[in-house]
Amino acid sequence: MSSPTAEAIEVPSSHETQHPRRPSQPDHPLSDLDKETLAAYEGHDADIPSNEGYVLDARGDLKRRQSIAASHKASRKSLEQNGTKDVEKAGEEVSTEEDDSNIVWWDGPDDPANPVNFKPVIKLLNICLVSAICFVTPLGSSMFAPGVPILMKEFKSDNVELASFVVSVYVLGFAVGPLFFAPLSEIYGRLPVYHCCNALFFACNIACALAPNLNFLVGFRFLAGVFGSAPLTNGGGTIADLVTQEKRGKAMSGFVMGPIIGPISKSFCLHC
Amino acid sequence: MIDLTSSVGPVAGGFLSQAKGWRWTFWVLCMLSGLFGLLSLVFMRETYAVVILERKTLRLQKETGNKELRSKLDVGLSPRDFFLHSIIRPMKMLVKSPIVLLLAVYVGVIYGYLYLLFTTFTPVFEETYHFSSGIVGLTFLGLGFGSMFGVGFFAWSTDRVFKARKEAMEAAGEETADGSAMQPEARLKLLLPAYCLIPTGLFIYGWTAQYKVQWIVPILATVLIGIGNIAVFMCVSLYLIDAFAFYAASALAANTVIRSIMGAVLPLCGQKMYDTLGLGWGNSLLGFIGLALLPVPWAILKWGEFLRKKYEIKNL
Repeated sequence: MSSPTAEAIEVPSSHETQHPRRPSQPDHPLSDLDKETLAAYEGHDADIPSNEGYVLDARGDLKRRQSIAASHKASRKSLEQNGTKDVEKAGEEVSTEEDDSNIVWWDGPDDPANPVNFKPVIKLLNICLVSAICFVTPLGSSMFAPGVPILMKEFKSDNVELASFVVSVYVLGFAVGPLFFAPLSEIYGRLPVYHCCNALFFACNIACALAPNLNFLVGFRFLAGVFGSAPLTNGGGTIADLVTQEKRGKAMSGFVMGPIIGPISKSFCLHC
Repeated sequence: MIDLTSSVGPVAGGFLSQAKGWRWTFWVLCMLSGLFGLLSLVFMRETYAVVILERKTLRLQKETGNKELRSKLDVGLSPRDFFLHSIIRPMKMLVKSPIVLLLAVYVGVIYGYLYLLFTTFTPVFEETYHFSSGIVGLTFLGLGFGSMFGVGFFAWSTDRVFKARKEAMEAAGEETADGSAMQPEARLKLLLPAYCLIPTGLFIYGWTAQYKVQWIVPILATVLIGIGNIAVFMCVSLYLIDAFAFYAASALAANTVIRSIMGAVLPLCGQKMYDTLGLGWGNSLLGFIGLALLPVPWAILKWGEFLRKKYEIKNL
């Protein structure tokens, strides 16, 4: 997808030109509004795909078609080099855009690989675990606030700014974390991001517990905040992945309220 | 929203610090995160369909040798694009849309107040009311109850609002999907009364603590602050989702960044301010600043639509 080719841009797109925000999957029952709302719950803009699809603006659509054309071209080149051009394939090459036979999708509506079709136990476990982690990380933000005077005595400091900062620096991590964990989870999946952040959050808290001085503590509190923000960033997405659209309303409105109340509310468990 | 657990944490943390020392609060966090981390290693699955399908595509490409296979959810973005989306877009929105900037600062001030209270409850109640470090954790519950009450109210009303919006949309047809069927500004109607609770709570909290009125009174004042806080946050989030439908996440991210920075930085002046001005005037200062921001929700209700149309966000 390096260079936009003329071929890519000229691909005819009858309904697309009239409608910059065309539904990306015409067969899909979801409206653009639904997809945009879903994307917001998942924590990304609508031109980054959710499980239910995406909405593209003119630029995003151009980019998508360029990418299709680029991969098409690359594949044709490799075929020509190998000289194994069979008749069946040759027909497909001519029609670049939206070739159904080359599109990978779920194997039917009951495909067990589709998160929506996971067994209820698995869904429940995943949602509960995400909720539990979403409960633990904010707990860290102020949990030790009552211990600060003792801590300041131990470190022989009477700096009132630092006494406040050691608590509030955690939130600073919340400013930084999501900016990186959102795209990472969109590229590599939610699971690796969760695992890495869990491990690092764990490690940062050990460091905090063993802190030899105040600066060290402030530093690792910040890092704990950064890694603690990942489940809060991705939690809405996990729940959106697992709960089907018609049941999502309540669960989602719960989640928008806060990662905390959503999971606790019984609508959650009832609906997955 | 992290208010709720933030205000529950100190309850356990207070007693824990008193009994075992502050380091134990971190050990408990370790145990909890370690336990859930291990459980997730075993039981958690990848749930992001885009990535699952991408892997399936790669597997099929290998098996069939057909390099033209592509996932239905592939929009052809490179990792670089994803990062640009996530980092540059929110910043662009802060610059390009006065509404995003204004609301980010507005919510940031309120969030800063919240963390200012979090960081000063301990000294305030230890010094003024001579609470032990165990009991002092309980003083955070006022904010917690306030948030919970606010959340409960919103949980009840939101589904209703969403449904009403969808029905209005469907009735009006797809052409009005940009918001002319229902003004996103309608989301902010609750903002003004909810916001008034915050300065009110601050004035009561400050002066009752100043004159050492029975401790429950300042804590009840923080319940008001808690309700106002969560209500403002909810109203603004829902408004941003509605107003910037396509770019909602970026608008929210911009809000989160500014809010978190202010939440971390504003408390730094808290203790000094209380030392200089006393609890009464210190909190009144916060309250007066809050009152000065009172026109913000009103202005957005009035000119929000104009500003949105004038500085329309597209093709970021």
